[in-house]
This record gives sequence, structure tokens and C-alpha cells, in this order.
Amino acid sequence: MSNATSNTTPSDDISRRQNPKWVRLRLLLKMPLPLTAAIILILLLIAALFVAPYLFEQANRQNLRLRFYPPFQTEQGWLFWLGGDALGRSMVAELIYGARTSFLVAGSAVGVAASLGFAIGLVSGYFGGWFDAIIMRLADIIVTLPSLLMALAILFVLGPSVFNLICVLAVARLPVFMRTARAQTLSIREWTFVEVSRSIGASPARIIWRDIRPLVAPTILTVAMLELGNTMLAVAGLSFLGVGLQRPDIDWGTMVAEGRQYMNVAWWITVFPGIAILITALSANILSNWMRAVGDPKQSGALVAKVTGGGN
Amino acid sequence: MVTPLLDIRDFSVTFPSLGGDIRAVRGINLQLGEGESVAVLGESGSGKSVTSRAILGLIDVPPARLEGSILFDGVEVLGRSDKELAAIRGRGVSMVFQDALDGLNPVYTVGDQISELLRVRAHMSRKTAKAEAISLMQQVGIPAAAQRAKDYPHQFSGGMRQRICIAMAVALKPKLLIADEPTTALDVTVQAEILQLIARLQREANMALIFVTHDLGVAHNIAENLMVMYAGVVMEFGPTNAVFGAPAHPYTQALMRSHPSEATHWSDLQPIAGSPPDKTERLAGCPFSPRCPHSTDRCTKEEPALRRGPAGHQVRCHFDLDAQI
Repeated sequence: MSNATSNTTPSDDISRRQNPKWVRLRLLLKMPLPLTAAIILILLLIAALFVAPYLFEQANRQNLRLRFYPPFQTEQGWLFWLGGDALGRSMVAELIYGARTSFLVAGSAVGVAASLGFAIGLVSGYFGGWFDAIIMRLADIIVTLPSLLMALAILFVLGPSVFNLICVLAVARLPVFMRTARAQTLSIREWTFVEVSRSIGASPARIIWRDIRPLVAPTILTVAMLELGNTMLAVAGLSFLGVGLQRPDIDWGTMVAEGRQYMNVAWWITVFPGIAILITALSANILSNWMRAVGDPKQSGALVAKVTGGGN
Repeated sequence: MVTPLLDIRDFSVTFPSLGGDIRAVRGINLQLGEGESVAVLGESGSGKSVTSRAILGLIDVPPARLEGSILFDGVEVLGRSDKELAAIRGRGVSMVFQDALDGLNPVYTVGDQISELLRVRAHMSRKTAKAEAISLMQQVGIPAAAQRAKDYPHQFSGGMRQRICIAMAVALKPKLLIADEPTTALDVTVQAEILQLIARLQREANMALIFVTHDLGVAHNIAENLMVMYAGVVMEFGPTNAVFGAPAHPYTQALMRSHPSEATHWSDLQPIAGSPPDKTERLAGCPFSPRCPHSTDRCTKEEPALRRGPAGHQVRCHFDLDAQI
């Protein structure tokens, strides 16, 4: 072309244009559904991280004159736009503070389960043998136990606290990640480049970390997004059953549970946190589905073609 | 006598299976000195790849059973752990694989892959390793190596990827290079270039070379010695020119009659009737006897030993057959 660009070779240009990170971002910007899901999750995350700490007091301040204050009224200020609950607490504040707890509990549980399961799955998939056999039988046992029942029993004995809740949920979600990581490792370790690495003297630790881990990571990330939604529902379920969080800690599940006895007089106490759970779980699912499609080289090609209109 | 660089003695590999033990390799002997080269020729399933993998300790035991001994530089290779073998791998022996398209990790740039190897195994600094990686890429004939080092494997053609695999294999200056059908996955037009590259690197660094192939023409040109394998045993072994000049085993002769060259019309080619034996059954006689035109009662009952044949090189046949090509 012109002289100004003559110092960049064609191959240089190609590698910059095809840097997968930017291609993925551009792809996301052009697809409305996953983009919306991502925006919702990011907004919720911002609300949970930065807004919620300022609303702790409001979320627990009772004002009996505002009991069952109906939603969509502006006289009491923005805190009561979504109404008041049975003790006259602000729904908006409770929802935002609940988001913080829901994200904290579900996020930590999934984070712990994903990183632990990822590591165990990689090692047991690569080495196999007795370690693999024991780990996988343990996973089978965990899967066979009904997780809700197990969580109920353990939390009943240990007492409901945020820490115990995270631990129980993490253990219950562990097998999913272990099995996924192991299955992927089993197939990737047969690829030629792993044998090439072995043939030039790479240690097993290096092969697992450098060769196999980066190829399993996208799948684990996708599963983690899916599990985030599931775990939020599980937290809500446990709180609903009364072994989850206790006041002054609130999460969406607790709110649904508390509101159910007033369903006929004040629907909004149950419906708003329910919708919040629904939207979050749905967004996480949509985003994870999109991430899976983009992570798969065959599908991502089709996506790129669809977005860019064929060529290029 | 000087100890050879590689000394394979009575080496056998057996894989257990539901249908009985599969005897992939039976009693192979091979001595290779520094800078020497041997081409291993055979059909698929003749045990040539298994043997070359075993030299690097790449066969998992169990399930496989290995017998005999493989000495590299006087050190026993068989029965060693990955950790113990790490010193030999890359530095002593390295390998170029058949599957050039899958030989590189798709998530790293090729420059990163070569320089990581140099940093970890040769303890180079990040900067030296990067420069050395680019110089290796130049040595294996990659144009604009400095820019191409930043590219990912999928941005290279098959031939280029195999060149990079070769660069990684010779990066630590091994004494022995094993090439396991390195051109099989490539276009015919690229094959000759890769062969020339391997021959040049071998000559320049005085590496020993084991070149595994099923292609007679390739075997003829690449190495000074030729080993013909069939069903896990050595059928004929000797200097390449001697074996090609006077093939003494009916199998080698049949291979040559089935090989196309410029002179022959396709209608003159004679395929070898039948197929290689099922290696789960124990054949009493010569493994080639069911397909051999010269087969006699003796051939089906008694397995011939490897002996000095009429042309002076080793052959596994009861008879002194004339070369009938």
C-alpha cells in the first residue's frame, strides 16, 4: 500500500488483527443477547461490590409506618420505589445488599470448587493410577448424595454461617469441575504436542501447567459460569429452608422465604427477589453458552462469519 | 572396541490385549555410532515406531512389557522414570514426530515454545533464548524468522510447522535424532525439502540419525544403513547400497517390485499379496512365509535366524536367493 505502512510485514499485521482477546471482545459487542447478559452481570457486580456497603443500615432499618408499602410510589424517595417489606424495610436496599451476599456466597463457593476441582482433575487425569481411582470414587460418592439433603444435614449440625455455607456448597459442586477437567486432560494428553514436550524432557508438572492447563481452562470457565447460576439458586433454596443466612445477613433466597407468608397482601416482597434470581441465573447461563461457542474453534469461525457478514 | 552411542540388544515389546499378547517388536538388535545413520523401513505395524519411541522411554509401562536392553551412551534407558530420562531426552536423544500438524501447542506462539525449551533446559536468559529461538528458526529455513516467531502454530503451513518441530528437536544439540516418518503428513512437494533439511542438520552437527519410513525412495537417500522390518522382526540389515543393490530377502525384493519410480509404469507394479500377520498369534515359522513366493514347508515350521547372506549383509531367510527385482 503506502510507504507509511511498509515497515509492518503482512504476517505481523495478521497476528495483531487476529489476537483472540480483541476478536472475542469485538464479537461480544456485536451480539445483543450475550452483551446484555454481560452488562447485567457487570452492573449487579458493581452494585454488590460498591453500592451495597453503604446500604447495610437502610436494609435493616425498620419503619413500621411503611409496612407493606406498595412499589412504584415516589413519595418516600428512591429507597422505596420497589416498596417496603413486612417490617417496613426498603426493598431496594435489601435487594442490593442481598445481591452482595448472593454473589459473595455463590462466587466464593464456585471459585473454590472450580480451582480445586480444576487442579485435582488435571493431576488425576494426567497421572491416572490409584490416585485417580480414589478421587473419582470420592466424586461418585458426592454426586450420589442428594446435595440439598447433605447441605441441610451439615448446616444443621455446624450451624448456619456464611463460611459454612460456602464450604458445603463448594464440596457439593466439586465433582462437576473434577470430572470435566479430568475428561479434557485425558484427551489432550494424547495429542502429539504433549508427546513432543515429553520427548524434549519436559517434566510432568511443566506439561500439566504449560501444555494442558491453558486448553482446559476455557471449559472450566464456562462450567463455572453455569454453576454460578445453579449455586445462587442453591443458596436461595437453603436460605428459604432456614439453614442459609440469618439476619442481619440477607440474600435473595431469604427474602423470598420471608415474603411467602404475605403473598396475598404484598406480592412484591417475594416477586422482586425472585426476579433478581431469575435474571442473574439466566444471564450467567446465556454468557456461559456464548463463551462455550467462542471457545470452540469450529463454532467461533461460524460466529465470526455471521457477525462480520461472511468474508474476512 | 569403542562403545556405540546407541546399543539395542534383544529388545522386545509386548502389549497385552483381550485377544492375547500383541508382540509388536521381537528381539531387535541395533548398534549405532556417533554421526552414523540408519533408515528403518517397514509397513505400518512392523514395530518401527514402537522401537523409536522406546529409545526415548515414551512407551508407558505398564501396560506394555519391555524386554532386552537399550543402552544410550552406556546408560540403560529401559525401566527409567520420566525424571531420570529428562537428562537424556532433548539433550541426548530427540525426536521428530509424524504428526507435524499437532506437534505444537496451539495456545503459544512458536517463538515462545522454542525459547521456553531453551530457558528451562539450557538455562538461558529470556533475551538470549529469544535470540537463539529466532536463529534456530532461520537454521531450519523459516523466512522472516524474527516476525514469524510471534505467530501462532495455526498461522503456519504443515511443512513450516514440521520445520519448527525439527528446530525444537535439535535445539539442545542432541547426539541422536530420531525422525519418525517426518514427511508422511506433508505434501509431496514439501517432503524433499524436509529431507534435505534433516540431512543437512545431521551432517553439520554430526548427529546420529534413525530415520523411520515406509518409503523406499526416502530410505535410499537419507541414511548409510538400512534396516528392513516386518511384523516386529528385522528381515534384512546392511549398508543401504548393499541392500538396494542386492536385496537378499524375498520381502525386500517384493517391496522393491511394489515401489513406483519414474521408469516403471503403474501396470508393472506388483503389490505384495496378502496382508501382514496378526501379531497376537505365535507363528511357528518365518512371519513372511504366508505371503512369500518362495515359501516351503521349512519356512512355515522353522523361524530363520538373522545371518550373513550371499551379498555380505544380514538377512533373515533360510535360502540364498538371487536378487530378482
